[in-house]
Amino acid sequence: MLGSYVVRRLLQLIPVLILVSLAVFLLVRVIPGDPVSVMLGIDPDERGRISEEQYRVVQHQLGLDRPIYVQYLNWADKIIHGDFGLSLASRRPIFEIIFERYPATLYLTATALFVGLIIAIPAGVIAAIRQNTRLDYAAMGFALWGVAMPDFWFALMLIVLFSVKLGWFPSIGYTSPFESPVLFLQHAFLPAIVMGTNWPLP
Amino acid sequence: MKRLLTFAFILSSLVINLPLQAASIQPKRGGTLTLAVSKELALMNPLVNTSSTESRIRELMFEPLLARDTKGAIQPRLAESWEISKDGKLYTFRLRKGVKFHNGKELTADDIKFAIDYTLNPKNGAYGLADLDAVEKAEAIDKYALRISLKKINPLFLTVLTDIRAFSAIPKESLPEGMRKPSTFPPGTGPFKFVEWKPGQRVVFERFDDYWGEKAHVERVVMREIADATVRFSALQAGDVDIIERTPYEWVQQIVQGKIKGIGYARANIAGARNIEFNAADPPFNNKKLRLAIAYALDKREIMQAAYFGLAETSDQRFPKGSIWYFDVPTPKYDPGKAKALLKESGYNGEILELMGNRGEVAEIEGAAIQAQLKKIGVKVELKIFERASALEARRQGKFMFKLAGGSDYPDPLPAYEEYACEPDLRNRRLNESGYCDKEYDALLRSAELEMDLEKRKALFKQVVAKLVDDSPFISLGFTPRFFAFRDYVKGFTTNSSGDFQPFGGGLSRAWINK
Repeated sequence: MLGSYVVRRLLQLIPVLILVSLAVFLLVRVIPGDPVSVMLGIDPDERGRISEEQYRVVQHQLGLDRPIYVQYLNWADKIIHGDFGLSLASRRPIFEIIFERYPATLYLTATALFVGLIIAIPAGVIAAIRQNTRLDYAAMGFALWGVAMPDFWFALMLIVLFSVKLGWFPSIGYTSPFESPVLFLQHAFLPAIVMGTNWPLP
Repeated sequence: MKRLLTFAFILSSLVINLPLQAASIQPKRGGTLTLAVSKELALMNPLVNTSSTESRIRELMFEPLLARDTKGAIQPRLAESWEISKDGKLYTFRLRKGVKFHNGKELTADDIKFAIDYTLNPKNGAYGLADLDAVEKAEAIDKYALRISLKKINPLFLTVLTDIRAFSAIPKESLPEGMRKPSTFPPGTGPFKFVEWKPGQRVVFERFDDYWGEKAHVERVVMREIADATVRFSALQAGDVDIIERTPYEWVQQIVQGKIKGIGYARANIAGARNIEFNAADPPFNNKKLRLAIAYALDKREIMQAAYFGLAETSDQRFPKGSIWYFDVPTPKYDPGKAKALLKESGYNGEILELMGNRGEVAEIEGAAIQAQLKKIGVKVELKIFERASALEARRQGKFMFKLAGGSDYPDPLPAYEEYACEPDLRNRRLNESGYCDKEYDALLRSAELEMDLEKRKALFKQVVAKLVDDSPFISLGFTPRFFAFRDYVKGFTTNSSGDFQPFGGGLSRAWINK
C-alpha cells in the first residue's frame, strides 16, 4: 500500500517538475531585456553600439538563434546534470557565484536567529506566565514593534548611531567566523539585531 | 564611425581641481586609500566591458595608447608620437620605450597588435569592436612601431584611442579566444597593479613601482562595493572608507553649505546629460510646431533646480558652453507667450501627452516639474514611468510620445549627432529613437564624417546643430554632475568631467594621505 502510494506520488512529481521548469524557462524569456546586450556590456542607453555581426556571433554562442524548444531541452538537460550555466555579466558559473556568497548568508542568518531566540524565548515565557500583566503587554508590544519596524530604516538608524556617532561597530564589511570570530561578530552584530528583531518569533 | 563613445570629453573649464588645502606641502608616500564604489567588478578581462564603474576601476591597471589633455587635445601616452598618411588611412605610432607591464615585461608593438586583433575578433565579445570598426588591420613594423590601416577616413580615430574601453595594452597571448572568463587580470601598464579580489568584500591594488609615468603616492588602494548611496555616505562618515563615488546630491548640498565638517568633495561636471526626446516620426509630435511649443514653454532652470538640489547646470546643446563643439545658434528660450501662440498654430486641442521616463532615475521629479510647467500653457501631460528594460523596448519600437532621456558626454560631436540620422526601420530604431529624419541633416553629417580639418568640421557641425535646434527632435535640459566625497586627510585627488577614478595625470594615483 505504502509502496504504491510513494510510487504514485513520485510519478505525479514528473509532470509538476516539467511544468515548473517550463514556467521558469519561459519567465526569463517574457521579461524584457536582451541577454546579448548584457553579455557585451552595452548599457541600454548606448544605443546601437553592437554591430550586426557581433550580435549574431554572441547570439550563436549563447544558442539563442536556435528554436525555442531546442533552447528549452538544452537548458533542461544541463540543469538535470547540475550545470546552471554561466552568469551573463561575469561569465562565471552560477554555482560558483552562489556558493561564494552563500556562507555569509548562512552565518548571518544563524547569528540573527540566535539573537531572535534570546529575545523571543524569555519574552514568550514571561508573557505566558504573567498573562495580561504589564510585562505581557510590554513583550507583545516589543514583538509588534520589531515586526512592524521597516528593517532598511532601522538598519540605517543603527548605522548612524553605532557606526557614525559612537564608532562602536563597522558600517560595512564581512569577515568569515573561521578567519576571526571576533571580527565576524563585530560585523554581524548590527545586521543580526535588525534581522533578529524583525522575525515574528514571539 | 557610427558608434557612441561614452567617455570623457575633457575641457579645461570642466576639469575641477579642488584646491588643495596646503598645496605647498610635499605629498606623503604610503598608506592605504579605501574607495567605496557603487558597483563591483564582474569580469577580469580588460577588453570586455560590463559597466561604467568597472571600466573606471580598470583604469587603475590598464592604459590606452593616447591621452586627452584638459583642453581636449590628443597627447602622447603609451604612444610617444604618431603620423597620419596623406590619404588619412594609415596611422603609424611610435611606442614609448621602456614601458613595463606589471609582470616586468617590456611593452612592444606586438602587444598592441594582439589587443587590437583580440578586440576585432567578434568571438571575443570585446566592447571596443564598435570603436575600432574602421580598422582594417594592425601590424608591428618593429619592436616599437605599429601601423594601423583604416578602411576609410575617420576623423575620430585618435580620439577613440584615448578611451580605455576601445582597448588597452596587455601582453600578447595574455587572453584566450572566446567568451569564457580569465581567472585573473592580465598584466597592465597602469600606475596600480592588481593584488586580489574577494567577491562581495574587496578588490585590492598595489602601487606599481616600475610605472613609466608619475608613480602613485599611496601604497595600496582598496575598493569596497557599497551599492546603497546613503550607506556609502555613512561608511565615509564612520571612517570605514576614505573616499566614495556617486555621493547623493542632498549630502553634497550639505557639504557645500558647510553643515557637514571634515569632508571634502570633487566634482565631475558633466557626468550625465538630461534631455527630452520627442517621437518625431509619429503623432502627435511629428508636428514641429507642437515640439517647439514645448521647447518655449519649459523653464529648464526650475526643472534642474527641482531635481538636482541646485547642483546641475542647464544646457541647450549636447555639448556644454565653453566646449569647442558648442555653437552660437538661435535657440528657443523660455517664453510662455510664444509657446501659447505656437501651441495654437499646432492645432493641439487638449489631448493628453504621455511623457515617458525610467524608474529609479530622477524622472519622477523632472517629470512633475515639466508637467506643471506645461499645464500653464494648457498642455496636459501624463507621466509614464517604466522599468528600464521595458522602456527600452518601447523606445526601440517608437511606442512613446516624448520621453526623458539620459545622455553621456561625448568625445566628439559625430557620435552625439548621429543619433538623429534617419533610421531605416522606424519600428526597430537602433540609434535614433526619436525617428527624426531629414535628408539635408544626413547629408551634413556625411560630409562631417569625412572631414579631417578641424575648422571645416566645426563649420559643418555648426550647421548640423542649427538644423537640429530648429527642428527640435530633442530638447537639452542640462548636465548632471557627479560627486566624490572624501575625508579631509585625503589630499590631491582630482577627477575629470565624467567622474573617472584614474584620469590620466590625476585621480587616485595623485591622491595622498595626510595623517
